[in-house]
Amino acid sequence: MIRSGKDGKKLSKHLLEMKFMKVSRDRIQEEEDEQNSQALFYNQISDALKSSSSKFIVEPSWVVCEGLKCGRRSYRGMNPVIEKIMEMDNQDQKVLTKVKEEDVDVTAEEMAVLYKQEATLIESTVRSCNKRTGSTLSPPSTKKKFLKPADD
Amino acid sequence: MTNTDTDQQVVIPGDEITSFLQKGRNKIILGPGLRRVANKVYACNGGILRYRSPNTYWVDSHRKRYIPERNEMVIGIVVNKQGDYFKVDIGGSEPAILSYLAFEGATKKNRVKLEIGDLVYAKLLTATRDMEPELVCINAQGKSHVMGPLANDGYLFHCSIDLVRKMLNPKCPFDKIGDHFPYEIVIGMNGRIWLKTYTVKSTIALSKAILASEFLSFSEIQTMCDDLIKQYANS
Repeated sequence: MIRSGKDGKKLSKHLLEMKFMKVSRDRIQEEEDEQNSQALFYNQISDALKSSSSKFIVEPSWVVCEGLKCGRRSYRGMNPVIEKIMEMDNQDQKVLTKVKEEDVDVTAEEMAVLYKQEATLIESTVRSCNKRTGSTLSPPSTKKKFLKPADD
Repeated sequence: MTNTDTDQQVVIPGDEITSFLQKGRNKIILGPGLRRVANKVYACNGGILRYRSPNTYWVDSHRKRYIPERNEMVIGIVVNKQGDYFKVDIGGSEPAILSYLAFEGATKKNRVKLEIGDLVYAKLLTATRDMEPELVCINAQGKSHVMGPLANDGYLFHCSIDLVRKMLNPKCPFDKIGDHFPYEIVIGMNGRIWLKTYTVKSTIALSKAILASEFLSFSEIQTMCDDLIKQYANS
């Protein structure tokens, strides 16, 4: 049994037969089965089916399309069990949306303020530097030469 | 045409709607009422073409007959007991089957007590056109969540599938009544609504209000609910 691994390298038959190689052996077996089954049915798939693969996902239920709510609800203590579940679901929703919002460490607004502060800070430092050296903003034009280290 | 134009676009069966869809490489979800033939998309129901961000399209059409779809939550009526299965009427073309093990905590010895005529709120596990649909009353974690048998002291009534969708829409203001009325409601996607309140009067009031919502917009439902709450407070 010599099969290709993840990086294209092959594992030897004797190595695969060892006890600790069980997981790899199973995986390779699975891959082989899949290849075989694909080869078996490949000629039965029409060209149209191959090319037009899947720009569309068909979803026959309105629940998913319209994002409908759960159909069971209870209010003001009519069924405490259901109300508890509703509360938990609501909390889950809130956590989910919160996580989405908090996904970024710094929000766009905060970033804008920070940039503004940073910009003024940089401007002021550059100005003060220029004042001290008396130079303009242009970078130094002299090209540094490579210094050969002295031989020992 | 842009995507916003698809709102209010009326389609009839056979209309090609490929031009209304998003361009680009993104995948598009085709909902009920739309059918793909090769690279073209056709409407197969009459109604209004709807779009929901980011990539979902469907036809908003009037429907009274329930067509079972996978993962939908429905209210079923037990019509028969057959060995390991209950036969449950969910309003589809044929009754669904519900295993007696598909309840939370059910074992072969510890069976759930369900009689003929009892109601269950269940999820459709499989729904194909060639086989009878299968129901379960547990989720993937083995918990009943909101599913299970419904108590005998509720009131069941039927409505169109449109109304069910309207009631389950997140924008529907009907829930506000819950701040004033104590009630429990179970809405099945198969056009059945089960309602439970403390008094017969409020049960009738609520069921009438729900049925009256069929042809009202959300703002009209809001005003109707406000009226109902006012009348309830006065009585």
